[in-house]
Amino acid sequence: MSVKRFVAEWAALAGTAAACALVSNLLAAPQRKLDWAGRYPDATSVPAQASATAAPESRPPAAEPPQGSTPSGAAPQIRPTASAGAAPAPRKRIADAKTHSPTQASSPLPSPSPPPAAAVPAVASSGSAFAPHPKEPWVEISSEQVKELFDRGAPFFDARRTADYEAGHIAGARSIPVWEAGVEDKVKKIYQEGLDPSAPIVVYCSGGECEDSHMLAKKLWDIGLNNVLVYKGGFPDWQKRGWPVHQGPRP
Amino acid sequence: VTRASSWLTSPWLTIRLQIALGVIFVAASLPKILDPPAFAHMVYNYRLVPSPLVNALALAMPWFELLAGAALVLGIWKRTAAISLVGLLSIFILAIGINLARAHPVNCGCFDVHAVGKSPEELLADMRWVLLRDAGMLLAAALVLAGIRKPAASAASVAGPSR
Repeated sequence: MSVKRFVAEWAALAGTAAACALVSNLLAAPQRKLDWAGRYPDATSVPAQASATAAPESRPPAAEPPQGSTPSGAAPQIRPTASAGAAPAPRKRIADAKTHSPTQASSPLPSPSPPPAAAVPAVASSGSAFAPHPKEPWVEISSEQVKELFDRGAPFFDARRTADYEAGHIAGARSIPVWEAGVEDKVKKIYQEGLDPSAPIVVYCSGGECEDSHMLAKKLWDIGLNNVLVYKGGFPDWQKRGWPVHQGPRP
Repeated sequence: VTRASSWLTSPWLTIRLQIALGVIFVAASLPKILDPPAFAHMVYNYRLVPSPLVNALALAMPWFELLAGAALVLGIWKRTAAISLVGLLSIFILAIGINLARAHPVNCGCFDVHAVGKSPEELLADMRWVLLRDAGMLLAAALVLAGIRKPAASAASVAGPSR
């Protein structure tokens, strides 16, 4: 068989595969749909083993989103391009070039005065001190702290798949499945709601090894929310304690 | 030795291997096609694919597996399909091998797109088996290729004396 014929047949196979993928993704139910271009932190760096779960993640250049090449030369991208050693990289104020036009030079954030960086504990201590942590995408908190925030009426976000959410979720929690298409739109919607950036927000997934809540926390931190707290135990822990659970597609 | 090698590339064996490989790839592709977000998660967990390509790979690769597998089962474009499987299996072996080498436990995501609740040690042990399995399938795909490459005349002479 000639090389030429192989290349032609292979291209036909690959092209058909791509076309099938395109069509099937178009026709897929929302919860089976996937955005063609994903944006993931640390896509090519291995996470540290369980010991470092509470540490904020560093961001290598490899994790840059695909929208980096904007033609507008006058657009100041506030997002830093290089990670500065081990220190937490300065946060980007504008999360998504798709969401916010890069020509907006001024900060589009609701932008209340940033909370004082001093006297911010790295880990939210017990009691009711949930201080904002603008330098870290998230802080992990205990079940009791989660319950306290729940009773206070803090917003909750569920990062799990839609099917899991509908099967049961923390009462009042809103669904933002990080792996399904449209996650950026949902995050954008939250951004537009103009939540208080320093008010505590709880995100969770299925506990254990689940990293989806951290991924969602990072997205929320990227839009300027300074007090995203990860419920490490997640829904299984919540359920085990018999705290309020709702079923179905609504919070 | 020559007898063994000619049996290994005999149509009797290679056609069976060809169909088996095709069925395996078709079966492996279906769960991924049915739940792209879950498979994208699997791909991401390997921490090898650049961020913008994770989803595109998760969407397109399963269909390529399906088509190449179906082509082998049906005997259409079988050389191209077999070469494609050699390529895919090499990539799988590389992906598992790299993560095994850097002790990063991953769910294989080969036939099942949902993470099983296993400890890192169990996952790493599984990955060694996957490596072995993929190597076996790579060998099978190579034999299929060798069988196709063999001219029809010599294939007949191999089959001839046994009858």
